[in-house]
Order: sequence, then C-alpha cells, then structure tokens
Amino acid sequence: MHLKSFLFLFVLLPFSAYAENTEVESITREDLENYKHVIYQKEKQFNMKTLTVKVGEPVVFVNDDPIVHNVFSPTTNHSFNLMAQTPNSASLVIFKTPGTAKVFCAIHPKMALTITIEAN
Amino acid sequence: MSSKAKSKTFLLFLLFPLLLQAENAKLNTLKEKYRRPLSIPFPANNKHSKARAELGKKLFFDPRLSSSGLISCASCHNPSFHWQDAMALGTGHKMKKLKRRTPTILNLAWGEPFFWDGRASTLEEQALMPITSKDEMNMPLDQLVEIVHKIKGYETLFDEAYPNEGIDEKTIGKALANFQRTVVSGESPFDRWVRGQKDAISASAKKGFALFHGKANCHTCHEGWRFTDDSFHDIGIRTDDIGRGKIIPGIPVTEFAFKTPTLRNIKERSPYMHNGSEKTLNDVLELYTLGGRVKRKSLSPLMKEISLNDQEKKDLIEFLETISSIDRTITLPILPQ
Repeated sequence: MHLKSFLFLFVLLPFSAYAENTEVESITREDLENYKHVIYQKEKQFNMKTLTVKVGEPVVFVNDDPIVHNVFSPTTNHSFNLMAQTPNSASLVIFKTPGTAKVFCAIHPKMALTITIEAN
Repeated sequence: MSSKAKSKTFLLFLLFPLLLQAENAKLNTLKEKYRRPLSIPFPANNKHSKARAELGKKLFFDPRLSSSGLISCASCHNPSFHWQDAMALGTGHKMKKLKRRTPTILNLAWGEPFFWDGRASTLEEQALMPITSKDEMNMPLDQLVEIVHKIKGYETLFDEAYPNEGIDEKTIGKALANFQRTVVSGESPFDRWVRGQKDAISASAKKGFALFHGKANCHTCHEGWRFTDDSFHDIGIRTDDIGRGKIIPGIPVTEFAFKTPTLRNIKERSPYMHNGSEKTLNDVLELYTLGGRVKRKSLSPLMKEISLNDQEKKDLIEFLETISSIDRTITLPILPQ
C-alpha cells in the first residue's frame, strides 16, 4: 500500500467519522452563559464525573487550568477530539446519536467522564 | 536619608514579619501537597491480606513463570536496583534487548495507567502482560496457568489468599498486583522536612525545591508525594518510539508521549527516560533547559527553554537527591515446590 493511502486510512478516516456522529466547535468564554451543559477542567479534573444530555444539546468544555488539555472520546458513534485546548479556551461538542460516551483527556488519563446522551 | 526614605524603611520593617508569615503559610500549604499518605490504597476487588501479598511476592520472584524458566518479574524489577535493572534498556527472552527501559515498581498503588505508554488500566491487568509478552517472559497465558497448577505448593497458597477463586490468570494477576502495591519507597530527608524537621534538607535543596515549583516548572507534571501526576507528554527525547501515540492513535499530543515517571529515589535510578537516553541528572536538566532535544510537532507546550545558572542547577539536583530513601530490605521468598 502506498504511504498516502495508508495515511488516509489510519489518520484521516477516524477524523471523518467524528464529523458523522458529533460536531465540534470553538467558542468564546463570553458565550458560556448561553449553554446549559458546561464542564470545567480544573486542577487536572473534570468538575463532574457524569452528565446526561439530549441528542443535539451542546456540551461545552472549558479549560480552567494553566496548562493544555486534550479532551476526546474514543467511544464508537460518539467519538470526538477537541485537540490541544489552551488555558482559558472553550469548545463545544454536539452528539447526534443517543448512547453513552466515555470522555478523557489524552494528556491526563485520570480525567474521565461519562456522558449519557438521551433521545429527544 | 530623607524623611520619605526613612518612612519607607520603617514601613518595610513593620511589614517584614507579616510578609514572612505569609511566605511561610504558602510554603506550608505547598508542603501539604507532598505529604506521604498514611496507608496504601487497594481496590475493592483485591483487598490487601498478608496471604495475598506473600503469594504475589513468590510469583514475582518465580522464574518458572517464564518459558525459559530463567526470568522472573524480579529479574528486571530488581529490588537491589530500586526495582529496576540499572540498564538503559530492558533485557527479555533469549537476552533480547527491549525497546524501553525497565520502570520501577515503586509506589504503583497510587498510579494509573501503567507502562511507559499507559496500555494497562489496572495493576492486575499490567501484572500479566510482561509474563505473556513474547519479547519478555514469553509465557502464553494458558501455559502459565498450567505451570502454576503443576506446582503443588501453590495450591494451598492460592486457597488461603483467594478462597474459592482457584488458580487462573485472574488470581495470578491479582496476587502479583497485591504484592506490587506493597512496594512503597521509604521516608526520605525531603519527607522529614515536609513533616516539619527544618534541618532535614540543606539550604541549597530548599532553594532547589523553590525552583522545582518556580522557574524550572517541574511541578506541573512531577507533583505530589510520588512526584508524578501520571500524565503523558512528548518532552523532546531523541526516539523513534511513538509511545502513547500507539495506544491512542490519531491525537497529535499522544505521539512520542510517555508517562511522567515518579522521581522517588531518582538519584539511584539512572539512566533516565523511557529509553535510558539521558545518563545523568545533569543530562536531564540539560534536556529541560533546552526545552527538549527534538522539537517535533507533538512536543508538549510545557517544554520551553529555561535559563538556569550553575548554582540553580546545583540547587535543583541537591533537592532531587533529598527524595531518596533507604527502603526496607527485601528478603528472597522460598518458592513452593
């Protein structure tokens, strides 16, 4: 297999899968008050261990630590990757299908959270 | 001296005790973060008992758990070398040179996940992986269980440790993990200083601790009494091993990232890093002052050039040397027949 095809299969495909089941977007901190579900990352912890949302409801992740975090979910049908999230920044995730997403920080594995996504 | 300057000096004179008090309070709060825990945590499904830890110790030192009959867990995790092997890279089955350095098993009861790349979530899971690895002890799981079954002396020991659970890969992993959790580094001069013994460490080491928490920024990852937060970073080591990137693929920050190791007994555990590429603590300091030797895309944003003068480097190393302890002597177990 050519190197380019290999890269496509193993690097690009997983990210294209994110787009099908989840949506990710950066937002500003000033917008936080507009969202019902806001999860803070502080002292290398999420401020909650579980969260229940409805399909389509945005879930916001705020980095309140002075260091970079990388929130992601490897769960099939709910996978997403917020990439390196700098201090004081915020991003949102929208889950498009019901189920349960396990969410972690790729840098700090002790940061773990379960999000239950309910059908509308 | 003008009257204005006099008033300033007088004000400083008055404020000095308050400032000193505030600094001391800050230091005491910081010290609390480094206080040793009073007990070892064990999971609910593998609580500690003397029988379990003793069984685990026997298994840990038993070379019959390898296909050659020559390698035990303790061959690489040698208690005489702070549970490592003092080599840059581990040695496995048929003297095969491994790709990574043997990590210490000190203080694993508090750490997760395990291995340099974090591929095992629990210690029970971790314990079996070097045994079954073809490169390490090369013992297939079914044969491992069969061999332990054949050693009659193990039967009673498993019965006492895990009544009604039998001998299988689960109980073998549990016993090994139970023993490993009891391997804890002893009290060091730094611990005595944290407890309040002011002269337990030198003035230089105290300055080194301030640098560790200040300009050198070591505490961001090496925090807490084990001196690790178990996080994963690419710190710019010369390597072609992508580490955590293989376990969590597709996320740039995991590439070339390895687990932040404990710094307990660090002075005695050279060489350093996942591949032993840094021979001395001075070399390690050089790596950090350079902000990493290799600046890849995945390099942690925490890796920035740091300017440390010779005295500051000396202070940092003097501090690191205070984390060493004289640990309890390990006696070799008599193995069952």
